[in-house]
Amino acid sequence: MIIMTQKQFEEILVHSLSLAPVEACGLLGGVIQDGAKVIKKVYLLKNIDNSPVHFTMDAKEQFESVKDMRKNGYELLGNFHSHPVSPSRPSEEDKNLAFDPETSYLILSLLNREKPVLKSFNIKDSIVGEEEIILIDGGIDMTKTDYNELKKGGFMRQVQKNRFSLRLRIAGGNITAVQLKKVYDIAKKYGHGYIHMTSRQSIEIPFIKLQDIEVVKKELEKFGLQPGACGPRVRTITACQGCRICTSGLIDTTGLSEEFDQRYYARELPHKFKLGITGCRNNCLKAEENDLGVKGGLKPFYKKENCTFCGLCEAVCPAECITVKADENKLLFDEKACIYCGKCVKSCPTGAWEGQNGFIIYLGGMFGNKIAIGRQILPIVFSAGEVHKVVEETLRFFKEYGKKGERFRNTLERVGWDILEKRLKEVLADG
Amino acid sequence: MDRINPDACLYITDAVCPMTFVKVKVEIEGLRDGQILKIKMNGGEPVRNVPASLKQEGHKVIRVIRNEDDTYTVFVEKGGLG
Ligand code: SF4
Ligand code: SF4
Ligand code: SF4
Repeated sequence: MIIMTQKQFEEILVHSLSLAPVEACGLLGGVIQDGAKVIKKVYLLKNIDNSPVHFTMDAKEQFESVKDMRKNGYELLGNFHSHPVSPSRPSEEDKNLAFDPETSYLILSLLNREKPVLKSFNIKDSIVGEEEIILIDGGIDMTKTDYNELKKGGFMRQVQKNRFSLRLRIAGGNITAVQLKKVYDIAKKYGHGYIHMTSRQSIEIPFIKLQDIEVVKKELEKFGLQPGACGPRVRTITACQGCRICTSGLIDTTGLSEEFDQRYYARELPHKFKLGITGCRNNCLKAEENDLGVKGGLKPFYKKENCTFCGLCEAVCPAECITVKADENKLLFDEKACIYCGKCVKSCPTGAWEGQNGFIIYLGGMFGNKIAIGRQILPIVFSAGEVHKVVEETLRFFKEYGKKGERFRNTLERVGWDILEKRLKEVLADG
Repeated sequence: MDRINPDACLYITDAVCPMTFVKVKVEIEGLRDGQILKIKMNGGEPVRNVPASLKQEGHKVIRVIRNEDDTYTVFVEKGGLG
């Protein structure tokens, strides 16, 4: 019996697919446990014959591999080669060349590319016996593909059989021109020559074939691109262009989205969780739609000594929280009503309003089957560090209290907003 | 507060963005630094954007009066921030 992981199988598959129609070959190192051969490492070797019907392993690479096995305490358990256009069964040549009855001879047939077949054989005096292969974490039969695993890895099952729409991992809606060109190449070569822009700033490449998935992943990887997350976890981090580009921007949405992406992306949770960042009150990115949304704000501070009581700030304030009494040289500011839009700071001709840029956080928004608008339960915070504290604690809360398949808003409604509010205030007070 | 005597008057209550500021710009060009332009504009978008644009160009808003009909009268000193 041979025990190998799905990943090792995929390594063999990708190597073989990429060399087809030439035969691919390699060695398998591992240990024997309770009579089973447990593969620990797959060695992909050069076929110096470079032929579609036979193979000879590069002697030097073979030597290097065995050396590596020894170093790691592995035994040489067997070898593999591919049959690009014939079934998974040893050819006469294979039988004649087999000299070690203890060795496993694995053959991967790519005859039907939709359904590659890997089998293992022991050959003694030209008599062939088949040996069982057990794949751990996944099945070898491609018809038993684990769709949840694929979905988790960004491959969305399509209406069309064995076709997948590949979602890319993109943060803040930005992708480099070079990466975009790679996406173009992949859509042309493996898809149907078009891409789909998702509703949340990601890109999907539809019509990827099941057997191309691994190759496509590898190709993307070379350009720093990865499949995106789906299912019950933190999804694509969305952001407007923020203060790096937009003249209204009050925070660096792009920088924050990259930090969010690195820290929280694809984190496992009871249900999907959306994070979005918008640069200011104009709310182009609609912070309140997200399970956790961040909006740039500017908290104003009034400096009476600079004020000429012109009345402009009163005229521009959308929250009507400023009253200027020009005759009395007085300005009244109802700070509780302030929505931190920064318009007073921006328009005051004499610099009597100064502002501190900050982050307003909204929790519990969702815009799917059910619609709910995110709520602000915390005062504006002024550092990205504090934002991260809030996000971490919120995710922890959701993980702790959320039921499987329950959106964050519903968890909040069920468990109580006050519990989260209290916990968030505590982590913020911790300094 | 003292009465302000404008050197020119402009009504942009019938204009919409971006013509509001274009009209103001043309008018203010005809003035000398230190002279005062009185502009009557609508509430909402114009009063939120036109004074902010004036600030960017270095002109100083010295007085904003809200009128009964929800329009605003804005007094600007040309180059007052320069
Ligand atoms: S939300 Fe604000 S910062 Fe972001 S794009 Fe819109 S106007 Fe610009
Ligand atoms: S806009 Fe500035 S100068 Fe004018 S009333 Fe407001 S704070 Fe004072
Ligand atoms: S920040 Fe916006 S809401 Fe707050 S006082 Fe200034 S103009 Fe008004």
